[in-house]
Amino acid sequence: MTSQRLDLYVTRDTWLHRLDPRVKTWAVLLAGIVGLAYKHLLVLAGLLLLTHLALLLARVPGERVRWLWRGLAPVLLLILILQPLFAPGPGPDLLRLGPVRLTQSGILEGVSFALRAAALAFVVALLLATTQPTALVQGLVRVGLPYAWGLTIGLAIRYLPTTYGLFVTVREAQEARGWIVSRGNFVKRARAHVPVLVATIIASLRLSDSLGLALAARGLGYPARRTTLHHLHFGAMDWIVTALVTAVLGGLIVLRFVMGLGGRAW
Amino acid sequence: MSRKSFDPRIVAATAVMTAVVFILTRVIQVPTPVVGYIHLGDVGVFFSAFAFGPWVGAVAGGLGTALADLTSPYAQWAIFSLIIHGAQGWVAGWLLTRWPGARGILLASLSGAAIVVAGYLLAGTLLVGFGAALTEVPLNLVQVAAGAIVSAPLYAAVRQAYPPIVGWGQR
Repeated sequence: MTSQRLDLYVTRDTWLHRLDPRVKTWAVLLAGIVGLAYKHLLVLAGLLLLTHLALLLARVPGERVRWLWRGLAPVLLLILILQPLFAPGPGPDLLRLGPVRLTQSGILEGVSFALRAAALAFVVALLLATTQPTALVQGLVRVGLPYAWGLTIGLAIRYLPTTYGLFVTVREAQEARGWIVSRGNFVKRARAHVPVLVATIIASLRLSDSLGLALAARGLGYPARRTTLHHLHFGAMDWIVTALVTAVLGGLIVLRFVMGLGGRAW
Repeated sequence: MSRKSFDPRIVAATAVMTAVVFILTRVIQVPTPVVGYIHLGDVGVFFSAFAFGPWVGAVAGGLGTALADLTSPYAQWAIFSLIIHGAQGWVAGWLLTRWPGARGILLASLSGAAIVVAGYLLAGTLLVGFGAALTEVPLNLVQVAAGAIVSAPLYAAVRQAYPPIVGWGQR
């Protein structure tokens, strides 16, 4: 496993953490549309910068931000190299080697795609660093996600560490019996996992049977209106942030689709 | 209290299979040149679809891979993974329900592979540009082929070792 980080949430008590999850989900949705719709470097760089400012305000540790940058670095580097070569675009050649052309517009396009990838990754990371998964699911249910779907997502998140624990236990037991997986190409490594997967999946299915019985014993499945222990409250700060985010990001979306701005890297 | 609106066992199976898909997506992450990594998540998607049918396959496949993206530096792919692997799980499960047996598994595997490769090519074109996305096609093919190659014997082995799952796929 390249990383065993199963949860990006950072426990803090900042105003960003206290914001209603529906506000943050709305902001991420709008920021995602802006990130995908715009190619302009200033807009994408601005989005990336704002996200980092928000991460700072949310007191997310620098180590967490560096972990994300380290993971993204090879991806960004290769976008910067490959995009200008595959899609050089119009304009005079800066360099020409046979069929390979390098142009200013191609380079700017590559920078734009790299900024887009980074900005979108950090926008989502900001949401996950400041919102408990259960609160996120509760927020989605409050805006119309069917309860069964919300419960399924919540249970899946709850069972990630359990399932990972099952997998590690089975893998270690097999390794103690001389099982080696880290050799050969990807397909060989994949096939070598079958003995571990069979045991892990059967253990997971047994877990699923017990969980199903536990849910049924608690009356799940009956069409009565369910209550919650913790309620979500939309406070003054939530309304202010919603209005601000809608005005700024919604305005950018209108400028892009109505006035056609920001469709080029520069 | 009147009739049940949904089966708690299906909720439980979907949640647990989502966690399994997540773990398989995060177990082997082989970084690829441009747009992310290849993983064993397809094994979990195909298995969920074969064992539990199209809907569990769709939810476990889409949600499991999306959660894996969200907790890695590839969060920008989450929405695309949700749609692409969700479609892969649904189509694979539906085809096996329609044509049970080896022919159904072959059809399901081929269709699932086509959805993944075409889906990520489209998503990659939107996110990182066509040139960069094109370089991922062979890697996605290897990943989804490995998923199909591993999931069929895995499904057979689990059915034999754990008979209670026989028949779930027809629900």
